[in-house]
Amino acid sequence: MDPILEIRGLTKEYHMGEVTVHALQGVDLTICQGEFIVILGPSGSGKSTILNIAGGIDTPTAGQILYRGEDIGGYNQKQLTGYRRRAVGFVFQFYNLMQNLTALENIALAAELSHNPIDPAGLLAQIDMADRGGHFPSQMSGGQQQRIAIARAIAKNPDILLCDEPTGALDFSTGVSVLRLLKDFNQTYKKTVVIITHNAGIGQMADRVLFIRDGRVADETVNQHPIPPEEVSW
Amino acid sequence: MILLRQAVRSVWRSKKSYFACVILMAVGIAVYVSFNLLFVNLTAAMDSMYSRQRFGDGFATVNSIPLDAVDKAASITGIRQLDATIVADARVQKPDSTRITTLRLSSFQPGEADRLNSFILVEGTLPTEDGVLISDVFAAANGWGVGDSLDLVVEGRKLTPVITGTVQSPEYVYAIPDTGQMMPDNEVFGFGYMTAQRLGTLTGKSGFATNLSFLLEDGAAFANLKPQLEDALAPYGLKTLIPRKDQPSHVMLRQELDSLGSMATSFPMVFILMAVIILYIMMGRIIAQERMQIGTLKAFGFSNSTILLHYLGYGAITGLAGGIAGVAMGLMMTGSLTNVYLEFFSLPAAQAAPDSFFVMMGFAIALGAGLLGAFMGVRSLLALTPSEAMRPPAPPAVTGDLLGRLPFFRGVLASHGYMAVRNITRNKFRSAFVVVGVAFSFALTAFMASYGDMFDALLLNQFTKVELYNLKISLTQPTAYTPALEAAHALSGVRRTEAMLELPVELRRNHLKKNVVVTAVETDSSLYKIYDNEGDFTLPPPTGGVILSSSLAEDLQVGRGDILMMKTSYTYDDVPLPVLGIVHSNLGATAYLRLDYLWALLDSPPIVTSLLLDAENPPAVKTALLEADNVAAITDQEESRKMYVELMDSYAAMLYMMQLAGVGIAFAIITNTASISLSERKREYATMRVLGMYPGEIGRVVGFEYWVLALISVPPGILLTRLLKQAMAGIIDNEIFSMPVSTAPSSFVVAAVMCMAAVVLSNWSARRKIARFDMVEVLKERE
Repeated sequence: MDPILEIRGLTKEYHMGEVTVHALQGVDLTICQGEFIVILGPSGSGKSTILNIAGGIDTPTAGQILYRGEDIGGYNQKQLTGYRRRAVGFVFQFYNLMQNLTALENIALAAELSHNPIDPAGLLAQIDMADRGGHFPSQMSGGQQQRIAIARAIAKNPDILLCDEPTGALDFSTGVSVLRLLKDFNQTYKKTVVIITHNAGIGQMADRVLFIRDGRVADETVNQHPIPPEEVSW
Repeated sequence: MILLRQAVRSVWRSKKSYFACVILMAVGIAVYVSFNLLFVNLTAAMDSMYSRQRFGDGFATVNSIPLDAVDKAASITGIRQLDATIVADARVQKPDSTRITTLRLSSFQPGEADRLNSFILVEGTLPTEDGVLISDVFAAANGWGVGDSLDLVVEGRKLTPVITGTVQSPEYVYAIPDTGQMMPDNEVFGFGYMTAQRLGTLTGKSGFATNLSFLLEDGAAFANLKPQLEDALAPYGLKTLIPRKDQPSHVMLRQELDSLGSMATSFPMVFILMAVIILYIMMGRIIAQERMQIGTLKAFGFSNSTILLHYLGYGAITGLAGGIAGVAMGLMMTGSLTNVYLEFFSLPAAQAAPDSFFVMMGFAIALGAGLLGAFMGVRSLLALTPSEAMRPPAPPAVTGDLLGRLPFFRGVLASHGYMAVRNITRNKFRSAFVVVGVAFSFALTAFMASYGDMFDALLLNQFTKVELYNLKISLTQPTAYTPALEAAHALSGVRRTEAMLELPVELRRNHLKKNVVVTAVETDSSLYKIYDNEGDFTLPPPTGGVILSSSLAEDLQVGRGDILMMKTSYTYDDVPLPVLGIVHSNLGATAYLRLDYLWALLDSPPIVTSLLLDAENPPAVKTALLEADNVAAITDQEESRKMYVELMDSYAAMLYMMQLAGVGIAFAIITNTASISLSERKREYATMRVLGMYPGEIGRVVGFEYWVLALISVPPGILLTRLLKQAMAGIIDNEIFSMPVSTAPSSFVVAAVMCMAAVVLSNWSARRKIARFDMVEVLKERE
């Protein structure tokens, strides 16, 4: 498989008053096209920072982030916005839907940003919510909102889907259905999915699992036989 | 104490919004304090001058009345005191000037106490036989001082009296020769005093008087005494008999005070209302942000009243800051505003100590407004139980979706358009506030811009549509038609001459009466037109009747075809006068007739009071007439036009300032509400940034919202402009001029451009804020 994102010697420091926090201390990581990756680690380990920098919403202190061979680490804000627009789809723990847009409009908002979007109405049907297109976020359950949020991220037809604790606010069975959607996207469109979570159970469905501790990749395992989301337990 | 510290920190965090709020409050309070103080100062100055100088309750002019007949009139029951004087216009010869300068001389008896309308000696001493007193503003405008001598011509006799002093008079607080002139021109018109003996000799009226003034007994009314006075004075050629309320100087002063008085309340309230609403919105936002904290405090056992007091403190801080700044600004403004007024109104500088009532009221209003705004914003938190407060609020219920009902809009708008439209419809109160605020700014700007239009309509129309002559010669007394016309025509370079008769009359219909000056013009008049400024058309002089200005027709409640009765000093009986037409004129109460018709009505030989000239070289004509002793004044249209243009230019700075204030308010309102909604929707906008939208694209969502609101504001803005103008026209509607209510489209264009500028500016500021969002920080915050 071709590498789509290569991270080399990534460090990130935050300055809080006179204290310097070393969030990442030399992370090396290669993510390939079509991979399903789960990044595990305790709170404060630096996993969200990796996701933020890989997604172009934060900048590194040092190191390289090569997207299809091009270093986005040196991009300015405008270039980073362009990168997020074409290459990345984000899924958040708390959905972050636009409260004043309906389900379908939330998906369409993202589709309008892309040159080759996926049809929003088709996506809505794919996530079994065709009858909810006219509903506003406040009229939907958490699980339904997260499905719309995933459809919104997919609608741009991005190369990589970055998911930050996508099941963190959901009950088990809703969480499983959300994971199913992510797996389907990965398999149907052959797109890369990266999930960060502290829920080790989710790792069972990944092609590869990375363990982050103290701002470093502490361990890495390759699943020869990832299991389907429905069989995952936590 | 800890809570206070937290209130101060919270105010500091939103300092820009509070600042805007404080500024609006301060402007409102400053206007309230300064206008009221000015009103009180000027009213006190007027009242004290009127009472100390014994300003008359009524005034009459006659051709000539012997002093023993005056005594008879003085004995009419209801008249407390009646004084008679000789008044005569003197020509002042100024070697370097071609402008005819008139000094209106009144007689006085040295040493006589308790005279009506007595003057205040500002500088110098009372004159002996050869001296003259002149008004201080007339002296200042011409650069004369005590000790200088004047070259005067009185009734054809030349004399050179010495100025022994300068004076002010209650009759000439606003120094205009008659109500035909709107602005004082102190360079060419002034008043003065000479001893009765001297003026009597000069005018040949020793033992007679021309002007009477009287005070009424308590409880006596002018209207009741008028018939008796008319009977008593008619044999002596009664020209005018007016109550104090129609005295030219008093009309203008009262007018100004009335408009000041009404602006002193209405104008500041608008600013304060805006401040209250902004405060209300900001408090609502703070409550939303600090909901958890409020729940925690309640759970700790803080009582509702303690928490309420804490949040009312925010309002109190804002109110007090606005109050202190406003009162300070107001006190500073009062001095300079008073000076501006004293430029036009010659009153003894009555700079009373600031009335503490208005200062205290200023503080009280500001504090009250601050507390009200805060209370409206926080009252919802009182009903919350601690556990409710500690939970995030339930998402607002979806009530009806405008876009869902209007499929057309779905076709035209993209997703960001939907967001903007729903932001508007889901924050109805806030949107309504923006619409009201922008409409107000629009109206303020359009109103100010139309001041220019108004003066154009009022004055430039007067120069281009009505008064088409370039010189008007006012004669000292009615003169035979043919010789006057011939003499004028003989002047070099005069292309056309027309005669005019301006006659003070009383018009009556049933119980309604009105004293006006009627204007009679030539049948084929081409130098003076009867013009309707609303319909923009001219009417030929009427045959066999009169054309009234609309305000006069309204006062007398007459329409076309009605018959008025006209009383003049020329006829013993009243004569009937059919109303043939009504025109809209800005020049207050006027009536137009044909010369030959008026002569016939008066049963008089052809006489005229002024001559209208179309001259090739007006200055040459003026120079030729400088010595003519039957010429009272020459009006040079070019000079008058220049004077008004200069006056407008001097107003221009103030008008621009007010327009800028209008834009400033629109900007403050839009920026404040935009910044509140930005902070509420920070998370959404950060998410949009993460989705890959550029700050400009998100800015368009915010911008679109305010463009739509600004657009909605235009119709109410236009309506509000009209209401403002109607209110203003209601205040400024007197004998002298009435204000047009219509507004030229160009003023609305100016207002629209100004409001657009405010939207563009605040959108630009919103866009900068969006670009500076730290996405990671914003998304980390708990929803």
